[in-house]
Amino acid sequence: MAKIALEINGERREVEADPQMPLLWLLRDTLGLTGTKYGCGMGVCGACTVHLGGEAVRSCLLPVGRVAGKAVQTIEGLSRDGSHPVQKAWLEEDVPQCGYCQAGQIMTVASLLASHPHPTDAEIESALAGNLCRCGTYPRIRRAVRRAAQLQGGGR
Amino acid sequence: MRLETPIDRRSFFRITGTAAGSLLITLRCGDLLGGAGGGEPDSARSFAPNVFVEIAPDDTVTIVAKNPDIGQGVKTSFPLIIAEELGADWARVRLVDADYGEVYGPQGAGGSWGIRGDWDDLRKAGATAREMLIAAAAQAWGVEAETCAAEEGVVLHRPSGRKLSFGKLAGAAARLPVPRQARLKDPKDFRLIGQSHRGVDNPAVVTGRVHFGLDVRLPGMLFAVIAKPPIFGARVARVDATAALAVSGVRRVVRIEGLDNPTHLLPGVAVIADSTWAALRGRDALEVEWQGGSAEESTAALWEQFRTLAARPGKALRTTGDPDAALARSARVLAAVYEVPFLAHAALEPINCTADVRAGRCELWGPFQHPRSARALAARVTGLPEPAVTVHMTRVGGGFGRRLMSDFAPEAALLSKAAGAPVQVVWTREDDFRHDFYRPAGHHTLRAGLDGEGRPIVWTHRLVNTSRYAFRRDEEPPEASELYVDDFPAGFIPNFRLEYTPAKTEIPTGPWRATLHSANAFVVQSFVDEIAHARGTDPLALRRELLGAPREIPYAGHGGPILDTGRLRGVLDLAAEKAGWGRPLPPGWGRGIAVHFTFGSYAAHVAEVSVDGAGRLTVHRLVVAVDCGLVVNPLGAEAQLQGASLDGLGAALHGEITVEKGRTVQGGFDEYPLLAFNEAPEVEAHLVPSGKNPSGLGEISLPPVAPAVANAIFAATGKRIRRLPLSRADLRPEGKRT
Repeated sequence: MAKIALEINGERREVEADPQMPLLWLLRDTLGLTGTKYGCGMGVCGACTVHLGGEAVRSCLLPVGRVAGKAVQTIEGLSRDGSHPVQKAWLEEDVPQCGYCQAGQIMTVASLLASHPHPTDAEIESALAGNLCRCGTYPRIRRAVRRAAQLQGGGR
Repeated sequence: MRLETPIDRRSFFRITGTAAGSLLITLRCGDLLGGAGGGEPDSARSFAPNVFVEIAPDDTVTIVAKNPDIGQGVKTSFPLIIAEELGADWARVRLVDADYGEVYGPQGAGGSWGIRGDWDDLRKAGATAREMLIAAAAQAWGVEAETCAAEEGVVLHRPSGRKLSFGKLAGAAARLPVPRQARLKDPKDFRLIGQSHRGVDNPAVVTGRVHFGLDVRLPGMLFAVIAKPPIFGARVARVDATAALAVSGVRRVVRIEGLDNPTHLLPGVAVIADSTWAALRGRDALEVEWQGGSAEESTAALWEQFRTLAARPGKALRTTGDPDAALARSARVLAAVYEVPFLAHAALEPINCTADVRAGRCELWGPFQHPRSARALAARVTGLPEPAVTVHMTRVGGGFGRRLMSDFAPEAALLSKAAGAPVQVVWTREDDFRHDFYRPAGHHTLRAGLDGEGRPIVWTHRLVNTSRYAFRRDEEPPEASELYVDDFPAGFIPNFRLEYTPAKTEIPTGPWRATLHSANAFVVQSFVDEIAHARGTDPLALRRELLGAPREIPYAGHGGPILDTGRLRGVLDLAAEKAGWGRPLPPGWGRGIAVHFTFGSYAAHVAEVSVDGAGRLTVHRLVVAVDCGLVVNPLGAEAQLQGASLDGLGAALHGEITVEKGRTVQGGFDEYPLLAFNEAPEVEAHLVPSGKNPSGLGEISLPPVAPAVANAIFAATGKRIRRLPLSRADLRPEGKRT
């Protein structure tokens, strides 16, 4: 066990944790931030996607020791009220079915749009290739990504 | 800071008697959607004519969502039906998740049964409340009830324009007798049903606030991971927990003996710890010796068994005419063998359950499709009477039939009892893959005979497979879960025989979305295509010819009692028209079509694919047409059509579970790929406008996908795929094979 300081959703936190423990379990079990999901524990499904220094990463494979001193953003920190353009687009397109994978999908897309405000279809496909949805919401996700890009650009 | 799930759900319902003597349940809960806000209604003046509706004096209309939402949208559509009949303002309705309880009627998620099964009762629940509110208003105004209407939360006296809100009428309505037979609305007056509504949980989903089973957090809760049998049927012989208990955070190691029926509870060794991570590390450190089990079990041997058994006739389940004589006199006989693999459920939310067992009671929280069995099994392993077990149904991160088995509920219950604390049982993804109840694998032998004019005069179908009813020790015969005796083309071809032989295996099987329709439709609709191509007929034209004139034919079992061939033809024609059937395609492209009846509804697909010179398959487009009767929420229905279509596509392309040495080979999404974003084509969904009562929807559009795609591959390449998954087929042109 070790004392680890990090920033989560803009808040500085100091936690006592096994540095080998993946960030996912720190978020879910220690801090109660259950919006980030456990799907496979192998970095394959994308349900656990969070932002580390603004970049989309899989929290299920990321040891807590490696995020010390860094800024983590989870779905709970994207916006409290669903006002982030990606969240708004997800609501407008009625994307979720069971909803379990959607936090990971949204975090991946938020990161994509931050670096690529007007992504091409190929960029969208490449970014989302590692986020699985068992319910088959992909067609609506595709529409929601385009809509989010419009919302983010202020209708440009 | 912890996000706590509201836990004291038992106090949410207060049961009292009404003057009329019927059961009245007053909701006393915080709104789960909006947090625990909102004052408690004054129960004395609130109005709750049945368990589904409560109207508070402050105009709050609360509607109970009785079934677990597994992504089928039932938490939106059920309350919509009640709100429609009630005349509520949908935007202001407050929704509450029901716990499991007999007062609600059947609760669960399976068999595409939800709206089909509850349509009448939900409407009556709303209509009863509406009539009582109108009666109260009519009394207050001294007018005839017939001159009043309920709309958007108010009762309106049409001639005078006077209005009273539901809340103002609640107290008076509560004192009126409950009408025995409330009049239902004429569907032409529906204002909510038939309009599109977004999912009610979506705002909580996109902000990470919605609670799935795995998100339940209770004060003092511990986490458990279970070492499960390394081979099917093995039991625990000896456990050395020393190293596991030495892992920081591990509290306790518990041996689970399992129940006789493997669908009820598997044996194992549980590690209970302060966090999931500590429990996982503890499990890694466990030393368990196992005994028994079926170490010789393998899918390779099973396929051999299938082929051996298929050489002999099976039990004849349905015979029409004289199939043998018809085959003998046929001008042309076609024969083919189709093989379909085991499939995993692989819901994104891993299997889990949380239990708190103490002081003679047990509370369960979890993603259940069948809460009744969760309660029964938890009662059995804790020794408590069933009424002492409360089942809280969380949102469900996908089910697909896996959670119709509730084996994870007794795990949580007995571990909580052992630990003396709330315990959340977590299955890893690998646990989920290796201890699933798979869609049965099977071997299908088909024969068809054509007369001198090319008319199909005989069809025989022999199935050898692993029956899920046999696996779960069901009282029903093994074939009952595997074949549906009235499925097309029974009743459409004069000489017909359906045979079945169960294979012996310990490989676990269970219901999977659309049950065995997922396999049988692939086989039947592919073989119809073979006949069409063999005689040089357009595949759509042959299907139209076989369906014949519109008529109703008897259909036994789920989805019955009748199959309307005109509606089957309707979806076939609609899919073909929308897809542009018959329009030319570039070389290397092909279109395929398939149609199927399930759970009372009708579905057809047209798939458009291409195969390039390297044999790479691309599915460009799926067009689906469905007739499920009246549609409650078109936006939600479209999602179900898209979802089930892509689910069917993913399974057809990639799905296969294999077993070696008594153990499932695939342990993760890397070995059992789901359909990925970049593989998903657009799905164009079309619903047939209908005034008929709603029938099933969640599974309906899955079965025709695999045959439509396989038939399209044939159209593109001339290669007939008779074994799934499609990704195993070599689609390279003959000259390019190595």
